[in-house]
Order: sequence, then structure tokens, then C-alpha cells
Amino acid sequence: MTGYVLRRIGQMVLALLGVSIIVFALIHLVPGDPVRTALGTRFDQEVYEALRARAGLDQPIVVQYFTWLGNAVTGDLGVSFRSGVPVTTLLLQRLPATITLAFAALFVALVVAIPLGIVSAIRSGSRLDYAATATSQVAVSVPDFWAGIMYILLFSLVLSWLPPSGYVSFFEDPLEWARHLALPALTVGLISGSIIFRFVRSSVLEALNQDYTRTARAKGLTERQVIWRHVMPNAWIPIVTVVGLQLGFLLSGVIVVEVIFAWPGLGRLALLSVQDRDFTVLQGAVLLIAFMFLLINLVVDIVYGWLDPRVRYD
Amino acid sequence: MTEPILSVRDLTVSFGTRLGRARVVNGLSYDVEPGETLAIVGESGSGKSVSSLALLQLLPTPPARVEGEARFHGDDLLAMEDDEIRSVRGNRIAMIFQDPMTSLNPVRTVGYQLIEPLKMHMGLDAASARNRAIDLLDLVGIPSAAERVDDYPHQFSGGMRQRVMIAMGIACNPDLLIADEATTALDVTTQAQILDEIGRLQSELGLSVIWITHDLGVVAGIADRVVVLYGGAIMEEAAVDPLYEERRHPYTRALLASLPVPGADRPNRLRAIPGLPPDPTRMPPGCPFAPRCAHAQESCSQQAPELREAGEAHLVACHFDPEELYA
Repeated sequence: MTGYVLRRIGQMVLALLGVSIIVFALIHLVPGDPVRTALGTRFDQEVYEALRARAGLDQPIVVQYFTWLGNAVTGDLGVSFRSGVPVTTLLLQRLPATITLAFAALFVALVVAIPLGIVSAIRSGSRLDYAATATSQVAVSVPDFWAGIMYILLFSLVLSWLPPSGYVSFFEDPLEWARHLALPALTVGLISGSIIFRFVRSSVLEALNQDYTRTARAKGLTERQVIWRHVMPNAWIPIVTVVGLQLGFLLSGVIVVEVIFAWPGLGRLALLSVQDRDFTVLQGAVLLIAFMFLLINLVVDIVYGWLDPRVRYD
Repeated sequence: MTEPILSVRDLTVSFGTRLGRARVVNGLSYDVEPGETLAIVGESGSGKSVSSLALLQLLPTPPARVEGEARFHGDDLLAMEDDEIRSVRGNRIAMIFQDPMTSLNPVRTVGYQLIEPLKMHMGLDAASARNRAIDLLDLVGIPSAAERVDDYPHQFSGGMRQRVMIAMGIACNPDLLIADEATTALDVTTQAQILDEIGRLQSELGLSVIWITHDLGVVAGIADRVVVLYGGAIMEEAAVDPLYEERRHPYTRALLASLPVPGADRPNRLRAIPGLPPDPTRMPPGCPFAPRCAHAQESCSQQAPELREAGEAHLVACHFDPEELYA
């Protein structure tokens, strides 16, 4: 198991290196000069040259890459062209909001999807199964921006239960934190939950139809024991994969929802940096998102090895 | 004459389908005597597996509907409540299934899977259940059982996995073991070992066995009595020797004729039975085998033959005697 984990960490480092090259190359291939954008339409050529030199933009691109990479490893992702604030500071300001929303949404998703998926599979063909499957179909099909606006209309404007937008830190005011979090978490969580629900249902259903489930019943176990000891341990394996993918998607910034709810997350930061051609910020944001994605994948793979003995010995 | 330990009467299993009710088992009746091996033989779709799953209420109902009676030590298995039948499953009647590769849970150790019925039915604590699990693995011929008890199914070969299934089957000293195509997925040498193993356990533990198979070679080697099933009904039932010698029913005859014979003229093709088994949603009104029977006469497709006595403990469901048919 230790060897397996170490090997996976090694793969992750390589993948991260690959991501850094792609991110760096893409951004430098995109037309548009950040220094020029920052300076506006009228500027002095000398100031322009000086700024370019300070940012290292006069160096060959390979040198620029290694300089950037070397700094990135030590946590220095450069300085924003727009605001002059270190990129790392900007990212760290945004990270708590993103992590909060991602995990809150995942919580909503799992609370809905896992019990409903299991029950739907066990009673497949029942009214409850049909109702749940149909509802999940609708929830997946509704665009997130529309659902978000509808929630705001209903819960903020009509019922006045919850604030329509904004973010409050947990350490400032836990109650307000929760009240501000509720709507965006619901918006994204129900969509993720619908996707996860379908996977839970189908993988439980598949495990229920396996020969080993019949063996378990033939031993005289109760249906509850059959499900929790034999069906679920197998069903978790594909479920973990999709939950990991969903968490990655949630952490990489649900941009539209962040915009609707004025949520100060990474997605909005990335969007702004694109508009401003603030490419140090964009690079940093993409790299951070990629890092989180890979980290989740690593965790998923480790959980996999723990759930499935066949993986450990490969 | 001893009391049979299992007495099945008029077992009928049907499934609701879009094309109407599919009658897969039609009024099946047989007895299993203590210590005997009864072989149930038939081709795919003859209802042999379904009838045995029905005995332990392992068919999902609906879509299945099970009727009739199956008295096990006098109690009707089919009428039992959930907790009653569960105390029989894996305890007094155990089942071994066809495919050892998929019948064990891949994410649980074999020890875990063996210990479950021991705790459940015999009330053993963890330590003694584990010791018994090791003894059982030893008994079915798994080398260094004490180390292998914590291994996962994928670390065992197919034959070894089937031994584990057998160990699980005999764990609680059942009275009856139902082996459903238990050696079909194994190669011939492994099959022979498993058959020996079950024979040995049978004489040591005195258990009765229902051996479900399509393999007449296996039947000849291990069975005391044979039930030949076709279209969910018994065609012929007899002790193994008279059945093979007399082959009273045309289906039995055709089945045995379809086996390859060593040394026979090689260019000869195997004598396959023409046609397909009957569609269970549209069972023919007369004898189920009539459409494929080389000796069928007009009456065969109109009236189903009763299972009748045709010799000592020899039952056959055919309107005709062999003397009339195979003159």
C-alpha cells in the first residue's frame, strides 16, 4: 500500500509539471500584452520597456518559464500586473470562499444523493425510484444560473429568508456565514447531487445483481446485512470516482454561480484576470486549481486502494 | 424405508413477462433421501437452476411466482417466513453456484466470508469462528489454510475458489447441499478433484446432495439417482445405472446419444438434438419434447404424458414403451 501511494504521488508531481508547462505556454501564446493593458492607451516607451524588464518579459520564454517555476515552488507566483499585489496573496484571499462553497455544495449533494440512490436501487421500479430518477433528470437539465436566480427570487425576494448574495467569513459571524452560504450551496449542490445520485443508483443496482450478492443471501444473511456487508462495499468504488470528479469540478470554481451570488471565489478571480490580461494571476489560479484537482485524484486513488483489495497488489 | 429429507411436490415457477406468464418449472416433484446424491440433469433453460433457487426462496418475487410444496424435514420451505427461511439457508441447506470467479465477494477476505454463516447460524464468537474457518479450508484441501484465510478471492485460482465455496457450503454442517453447475466452469482435472472432495465430505458428514448439471459424464460418476428435466418437467427418473442402460425416454436417449464416444468413427458428427427447447411463454399443449422428438406421434402434441412407473423405481413421462419406439 505504501509503495502504491508513493508511486501515485510521483505521478502527481509529473502531472503537475506537465500542467505548469501547458498553462505557461498557453498564456504566453495568447495575443495581448499585459504591460500595455496595464498602462492604458497613452504611455511612455521607456516606462513600458522598464516594466517589461522588471516582469522579466524581455527574457527568452524558456528562461521565463524556469524562473516562474522556480519561484512557484517556493510559493511565489509573481505579482499581479493590475494591482501589484502578490498573486499568492490574492489566491489565498479567495481560497477560503471557494473551499467553503465546494464542500458545502458537496455536503448537500451527498446528503441527497447517497440515501436516495441506495433506496432507489433497492426498490428499483417503485414509485419512489421513478420520482427520484425523474427529479434528478430535471435537476441536471436546469442551467445553474437559472436555478440560482430562481432561488434568489424565492428565498430572498419573496420570502426574505436568506440574503441574495455576498460572503461572510465563518470567523466573523458563523450564523451569517451559513445564511450566505445556503443558496449558492443549494444551487450547485443539487446539480452535483443529481449526477451523483445516478451513479449511486446504478452502481448499487449493479452490485445487487452480482453472483456474490446471491451467495450472501444463500448464506442466510438478513437483507440489511447483505446490503451493508456485501453490496455497498462494492458499490462505493465507482461512487468514490464520481464524487472525486464532482469535488474537483466544485473546487475549480463554479464561475457562473460565483458571479450570480457575488461569491469571492477562485472562479471569479480567474474570470477577472482573463478580462484584465492579468496573466500572472491567471497562471497562478489555473495552477492552483490543477493542483487541487490532482490532489483530489490522489485521494480518490488512495481511497480506491483501501476499498478494493485488487488495486493494492497491482 | 427412511423418510426423505426433502420432498418436493408440484413445484411450479413462472415469471411475469411482456409476452405473458413464462412457466419455467411445471409441477416438479421429487424426493431426496438422506445421504444420497440426486442429479438433476437438463439443458439450459430446462428449469433446473430456477427450481433449486426457488426452494430457498432466492428468486425475486415478483417477477417470479412459486407454487407447490417443498417439505424439508416435514416443514414447507416455500411457506416459510423470512426469518425462518434465513435460518435454513446456509445452515441446513447450503448452495454452491456455478461460477466461482463471481460468486465470492471480491472486496472481502475469504475468511470474512466463511466466518459470516458461522457467526450467524452457530453463534460462534470471532476467535472460534476464525479457527473453524481455517479448519474448513483445510478440510476442503486448501494448503496452508491458516495463512490463506486472510487472502482475497482474487488471490485464489478458480478451483481453489470453488473449494472455498464448498467450505462455505458445509460450514454449518448442513443436511443438504445443492450444487448448481458447481464444476462447470472448471477444467477437467480440477473438476475431478472437486467431485472427489464432495464425495469424501458426503461420506464423512453424511449429507445429501442435489447435483444440478448438464454434464452426463459427471452424473454417471457421482449420482445415485437421476432426474432428467426438460421444459420444466421430469421426463425420466431412475437410479443411475438403469437410467443409462435403459434410456426409456426419447429425450434421455437423445441426450446420451449426443455425447462423443471415443473410438467411434471420427468423421461422424455429434448427434445433436434438432431444434430448440420450448419457449416458456408458449409451452406446447402436449409433451414438451414432442416438437423435437424423433419418435413423436400425433397424440404426443395433444396430450401431455403422465409420469408413470416403468420398472422398479423408474419413472418415465412418455406415452410409449421403449420396445414400441426403438424396435
